[in-house]
Amino acid sequence: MDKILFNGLSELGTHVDRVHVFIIAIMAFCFIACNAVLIYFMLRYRRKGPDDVTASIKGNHLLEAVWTIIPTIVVLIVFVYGVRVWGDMRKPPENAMTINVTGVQWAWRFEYPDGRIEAEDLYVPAGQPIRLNMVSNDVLHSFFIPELRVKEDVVPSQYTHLWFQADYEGVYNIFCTEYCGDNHSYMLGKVHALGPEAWDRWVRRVPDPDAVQLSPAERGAKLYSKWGCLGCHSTDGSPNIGPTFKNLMGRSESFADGSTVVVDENYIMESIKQPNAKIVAGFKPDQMPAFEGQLSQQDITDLIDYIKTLNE
Amino acid sequence: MSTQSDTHYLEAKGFYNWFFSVDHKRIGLMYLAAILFFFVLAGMAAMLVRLELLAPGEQFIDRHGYNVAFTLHGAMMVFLFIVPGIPATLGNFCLPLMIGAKDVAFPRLNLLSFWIYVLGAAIVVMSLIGPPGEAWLDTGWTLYTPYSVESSSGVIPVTLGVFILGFSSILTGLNFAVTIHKMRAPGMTWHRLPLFVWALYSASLIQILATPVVGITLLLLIMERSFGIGFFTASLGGDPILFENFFWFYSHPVVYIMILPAMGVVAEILPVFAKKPIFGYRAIAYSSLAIALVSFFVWGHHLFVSGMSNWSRWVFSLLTFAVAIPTAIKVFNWISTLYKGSIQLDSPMLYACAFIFLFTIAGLTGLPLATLATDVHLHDTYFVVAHFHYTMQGGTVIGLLAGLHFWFPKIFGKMYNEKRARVGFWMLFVGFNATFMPQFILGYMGMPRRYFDYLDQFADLHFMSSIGGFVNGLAYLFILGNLIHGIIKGTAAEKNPHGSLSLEWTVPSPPPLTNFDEIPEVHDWTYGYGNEQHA
Repeated sequence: MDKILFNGLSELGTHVDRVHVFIIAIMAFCFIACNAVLIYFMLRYRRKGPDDVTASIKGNHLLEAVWTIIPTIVVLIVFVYGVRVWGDMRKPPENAMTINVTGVQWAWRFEYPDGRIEAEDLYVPAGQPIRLNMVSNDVLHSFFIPELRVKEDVVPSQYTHLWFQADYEGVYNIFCTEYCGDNHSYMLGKVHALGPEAWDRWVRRVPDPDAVQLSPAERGAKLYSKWGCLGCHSTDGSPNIGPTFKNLMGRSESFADGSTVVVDENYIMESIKQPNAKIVAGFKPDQMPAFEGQLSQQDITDLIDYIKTLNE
Repeated sequence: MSTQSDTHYLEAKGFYNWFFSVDHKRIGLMYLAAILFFFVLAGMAAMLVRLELLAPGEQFIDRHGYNVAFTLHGAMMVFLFIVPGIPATLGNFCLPLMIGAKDVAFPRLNLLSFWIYVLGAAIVVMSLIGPPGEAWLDTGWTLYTPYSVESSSGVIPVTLGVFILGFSSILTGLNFAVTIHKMRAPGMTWHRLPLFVWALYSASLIQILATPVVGITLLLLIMERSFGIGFFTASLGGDPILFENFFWFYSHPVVYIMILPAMGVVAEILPVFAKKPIFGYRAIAYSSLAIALVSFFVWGHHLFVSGMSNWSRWVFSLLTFAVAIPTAIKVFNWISTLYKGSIQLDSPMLYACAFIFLFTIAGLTGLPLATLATDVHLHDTYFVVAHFHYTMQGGTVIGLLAGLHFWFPKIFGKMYNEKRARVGFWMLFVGFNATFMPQFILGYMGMPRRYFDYLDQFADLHFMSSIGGFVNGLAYLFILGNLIHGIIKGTAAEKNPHGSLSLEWTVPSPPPLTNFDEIPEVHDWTYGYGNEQHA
């Protein structure tokens, strides 16, 4: 983010920034005008002695009328300008591509029209209007792409929406801006605005030829953060909402009914697909979404390989 | 010189004479001690927040500890310090004196308000911190559902405490409104009233009308958490945005409970230290009422990106701009009061002028937040944090300090060290601006609120803000230290050291227990400064 305003990344953002600059100009003018007069009076009329002569001015109707009417006109202009630009922000173009967004503590999920699911990384074609249809799985969140000047809360059981268009290829931040608990500040993501070729490759799931080939455990590590596992499962042994992944493989876990299991690949796979099937004693059920059908078998295997690396 | 038969109010010793006194001055003083205690506590939580934000990544406390720290800071500052704030302290002390009354209309109710405050505050503090082993409150002071329904921390006891505090606020408001209607001395017509009284009256109306709403909302939240009745949780058939609407229906007007009395303090100080009548008395008085009225119709601007309907959004945007006009009128009137005056820049006046300076920033930065297109970007970023700290700290706290320094000789019968008071003022002025100016830029850059950790691009401005914050914190210790020193070691104060024409300065310092031997008769308004009257 080199330039705070007028980054030139989207047309609508540029319109919004014009409103910003218009208001900043008004703020600067009023601030300087008021305080220049204030400071001038403070210095010019400093008390010289106890016998200073002061005027008994109680008011001036003309002046008071003027400084009531002018601010009224100014704020009305600002209001109308703001509403007009905002109107465009609320009306997605007809050709917008709709992507479903789900906010969960503490990750973003993106579901494409063809059923494909991404987490954390939102891939979009540059130059194409994108409409996000958003809902929350748990508490309030807010979806914010500062560089593109869009934001809207993500609410449970009610769809909210916003639209944006990244005019150029690039990677832009996504922040959660509605406080949502411990990892609120880590509920981040990236918008990847892709050029035509890269987008085509992404749609056809062709791996980027330039990308480094990762080992299964390395892919698993990426999935661990991408799907928000880190929100509840630590890797350093510290307790959290779910059991820690440190030394998980081969550990003996007991359940509320007194039975025990030695953690193996199958137990982990079951817990990813159906988390409520076997809840480790001391932890609450219904804390984790079921990933059945969301993660491919390959993804699950990669995650297990990653968890294995956390054994000392 | 009137002959005062009885002793002054500070002379009484012992627990009973203070804690069961129905005297408005003693109650005001007890409130002052209580709210300043919570101010220091909440300020320490703020220091913890700024310490953690010195650099990206974990510094001193973990992410949960950070969330607890900003919750403690916000909840204590709002509910325990700034809502009772000026009305309960300076208001209690000054109101009967200013209108020529011996006490408020219902002195025993006033004592009850104080005790309800103590009870509510005790519950809030104990449950914020939580019993040993239990979680500290981490919902933010806003208690937004569904997080506050899910959170394992003590939401119910905190909510109960705030609910109880609400009654203290309602009863004080009621008491003041009746006092202003019924207890004015003969000749003290509405248009002769000091503007501080007008401001207290406006704030009282909001306290009476808005506080019950938050009380009911908190009860609903308690019922939802305790019995699973779905008011706000979607899975139970409730609506999470409903809580936001209810909450801000109170919590936006409450901003004006905080700021209107501070504006009133400033309107008292400017004419005295400029030796000029207040400019546009009626405009200032009526704009207080106008702000109180309009404040009830602008809560929706907290919900511009909440999922509220598009229609509501633009209607609330328009209504929000309506508040800007009476506010602007006040600023112009204050500045004009100084024109051709004889200005003495003692510490109360320095604070009053700083109030105007900082309040122009606070008010003007409300414009991009009221404007829909720009609020979308700035909503829930550090821009908002900076904006409301300019109103609450730059406005209300500076106003409280202005009033404390102004009425200090009347309250305690002593003088503080003026030189050190000015040093403290400049420390605060520099520290405060150094803390919050960088946050406006952080907001434009998109730095979200309530973030424990942040990207490297925000690091420099956060560092500056933290350093400013520490200066800001030290300044308060210095200022309070100077005032406490003044109480203990200060030189005796005259009856009317500033040369004010208001009634509270016609009685000795400190005032006798019954205020006036005889109820005074008022023949002129309070602001008859200038040479026509006093050649």
